Formats: sequence, C-alpha cells, structure tokens
Amino acid sequence: MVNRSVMAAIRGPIVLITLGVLFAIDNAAGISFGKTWPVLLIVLGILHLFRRAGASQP
Amino acid sequence: MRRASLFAPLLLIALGALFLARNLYPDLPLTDYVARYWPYILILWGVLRIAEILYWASSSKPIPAHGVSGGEWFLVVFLCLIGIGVHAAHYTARGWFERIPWASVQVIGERFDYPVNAEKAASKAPHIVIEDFRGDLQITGSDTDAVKVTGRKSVRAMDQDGAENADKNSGFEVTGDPGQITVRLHEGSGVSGRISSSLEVTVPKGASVEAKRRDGDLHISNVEGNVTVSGRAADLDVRDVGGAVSVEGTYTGDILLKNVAKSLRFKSQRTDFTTAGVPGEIHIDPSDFNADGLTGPVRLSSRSRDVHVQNFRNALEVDLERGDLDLQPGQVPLSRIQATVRSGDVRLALPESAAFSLKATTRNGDISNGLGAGFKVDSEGRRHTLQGSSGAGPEISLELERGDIFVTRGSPKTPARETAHPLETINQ
Repeated sequence: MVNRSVMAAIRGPIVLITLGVLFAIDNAAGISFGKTWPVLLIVLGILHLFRRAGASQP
Repeated sequence: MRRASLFAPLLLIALGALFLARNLYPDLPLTDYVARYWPYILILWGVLRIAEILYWASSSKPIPAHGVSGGEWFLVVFLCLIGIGVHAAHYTARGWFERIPWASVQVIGERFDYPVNAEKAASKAPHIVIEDFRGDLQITGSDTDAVKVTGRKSVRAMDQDGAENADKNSGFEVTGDPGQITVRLHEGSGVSGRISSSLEVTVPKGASVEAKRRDGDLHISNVEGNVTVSGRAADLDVRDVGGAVSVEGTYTGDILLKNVAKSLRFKSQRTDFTTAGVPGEIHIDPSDFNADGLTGPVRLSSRSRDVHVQNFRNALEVDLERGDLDLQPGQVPLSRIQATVRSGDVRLALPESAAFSLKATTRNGDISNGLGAGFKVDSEGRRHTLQGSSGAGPEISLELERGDIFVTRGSPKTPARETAHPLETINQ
C-alpha cells in the first residue's frame, strides 16, 4: 500500500529528471531535444505499466 | 496535505546568489553558465523530490498523490522556456541578452558629455596598452610620432553638479615612456561604472597594440606591430596589420579580420582558430564563420557555426561539432585537408586540375560523388565511404558522424557567398 503511493508520487519527479537529462544531453553532446523527446513518452509508458502492475495486484 | 518542499527556497537562494555574483563580478560569463547548465536544475529538483518522498514515506508522513503538483509543472515549463531561450540567445542569435545594459539599469539620471583630448610623444614603434573601459574605440596608425587621444567621455549623473564632479574625478591618462604607452581611464571614488566613452586614438604606424576591453565597438587598423585584443566587445574590426594578431574574448556583434601579414589566432567560447596569415578576410558573426583568402596551415575548431573557407593555401584542419562546412581550396597544388564534423553537411569543391587522394566517411547520411571515375562509394547500412585518388597528391580526409557529403570538381552546386575577392576569379 505504502509502496504504491510512493510509486505514484515519484512518477512526476522521474519525468522531471528525464526532462533535465534530455536537455543536458542537448546542451552538452549536441543531440537535440527535438530528436530525443520520444524518450519522454517511453518513460511515461513504463511508469504507467508499473502503476497498472501495482494496481492489478490484490 | 502538502508537505513544504525544500526546492522553492533553494531555487530562490540560487537565483539570489546568481544575481549577486553578476553584480560583484561582472566579468564572469554567467549567462554562459546558465545557458549550458540550466537542465541540471530540473535533474536536481527531481532527485530532491524523490529523496523527500522517500523520507516522508519512511517517517510515515502523508505522501502527496502527485510528486510534482500542477503549479510546479507550470514552473517547470516556464524554466524550460527560459532555459531554451537563454541557450538559443547565447549560442545562435547571441546578442540580445548580452546587449541588455545591465549596468545602466540601476543607474538613473542624465548623460553629460565632455570632450577628451590628450597627447604624448612616442617612439617610432611604441607598445600601446589600452586598458579596460567602456565605450567605442578606434585605433589608427599613421605617420606621426605621438599618441593622440580625442573623442568624448559620457558621464551619467543626476544633475549638472554631479556630472561636473564626476568629470573632475575622472580622466583619461596617457602615461609611460615613448617606447611603452598606456591609455587608461582613471576613475575617482564614487564615479565607477558611470563613465563611458567614444575615443579615437592615433598611434605611430610602427606601433604594437594591446587592448583589454569591456563593451563597445573596437576598430584597429593600419599598424605594423602585433595586435592583442582581449575582453568583451560588441563589434570588432581589425585590418591592415603588419604583425601577428591575437583575439581572445566574448563578442556579441560581428567580427571582421582583414589583411593580416603574420599569424592570427582567434579564440572565443565556441571557436578556436589559427592561421599563418590572412591576405584576404575573415568575417565571423553569431551563426557563420566565413574566410576567404587564408595562408595556412589553418586550424579551426568550433562548437556550432556554419563554416565557409575558400582560397586557402597549405594544410587545413577543421573540427566542427554542429554546423555545415563548405570548403573550396581554390588553388593548386592542394595540401592536406582534414575535417571532422559531428552533425552537419560538408560541401567540398576541388579545383579541376587538382591531384589528391580522398577518403570521405559519413556514419549516418548520404554521399554525392561528383568526382567521376576513379572514385567509388562503399555502403554499409547508413554508413557510406567515398574513396579514391586523382594523380599523386595530398590526402583529403572527411569524417562525419551525421550529415551528407557533397564532393564536386570546379565550381560547387550551391554558390558560396558572393565575395569579391581577386583569388576567386583565378580558379573559375
């Protein structure tokens, strides 16, 4: 129960970190955010999967 | 119930520290730091929030349903927009952010102008040092044996009395002996930062010049000694120099370097360039690097700029992170050319009669081979290599991470910049 709410709560910060990492890569390595943004979708999808996995457990 | 987060106060403290640093050390390239490192704020924020949530969980305090609230997402978007804006302003349309007169924002009052007139006898080939002050400056060599400073000094003050006082407390000093002369603004107490100037300095033709600058335009022409420029300026124009030229610093406007007899070195935050001489001219603006007429060996590395180099002699080495590269050697015989580009297209136009061996590789892109027989393209997935040789000549090597390669003989498909340079007509 506790873990599930923790899971839900850290979704936002994880997306935030991903965003930061993508922009940092844009600035430092020159791979533009215009190209790497789908990573955000992937991360959102993975987080969603985890949530559903957590919810389907009794 | 929402727990109080640490991030907001930390952000406030960081902002305060940033502005304080800006006021105390105006020379620190803070906008550069912000432009480069702002994404780490997001990462830090996320990490901090996770740590907080884990701490709340472990101490059995209530956990918010959303780790990052709606209002905070709004702040995130805002931060991203500012970050992208500063980054773009700094690296592509560099200029507007630096041009905001941060110093004058806190200075209210009126501007009062005072004429400047100073002169000092000099030797035939003196070393002239221009020390740090604000404003436009023009240094010209001529047949004279004195250093002469004319122009105006602007004082910002609340009223006439204040201005008179500031004028009395400050002045341009021309000091030193005939062999070494220093021009500097002497600022008395309480007038610091309120004085700018527009000066013309006439120096003996044989002089060498060293200018340490802050803001304003800088023009140097017609001197036979070495020229060293450092600091910060808007536009920079250096031409007709008999010695070596060294430029280092931050420039928010256009740079023109023309007719330099000896070596030239240009170093800014994004670009490092050396060449053995410039019979033609080099024009650098925030997005482009254009050189026409260089005596090599030439070496150029840049973070992000479109680079056009034509009519160069001797070896050329280019290392480009982001931007297109356009090379037209112009003269035969060729020398070694070596170019590495991480992201951008490369256009190479070789003279009809040139002898050379070529190896051009792109890991992710296409190759257009305009060289004909003797050259062939090997492909392996997205990776292409163009290889071959024409006669016995120097090695040309192009290496691209991502981008297309166009190699032609004679005049290129896409016309290069229209520059009226005598060398250009020779290779047509």
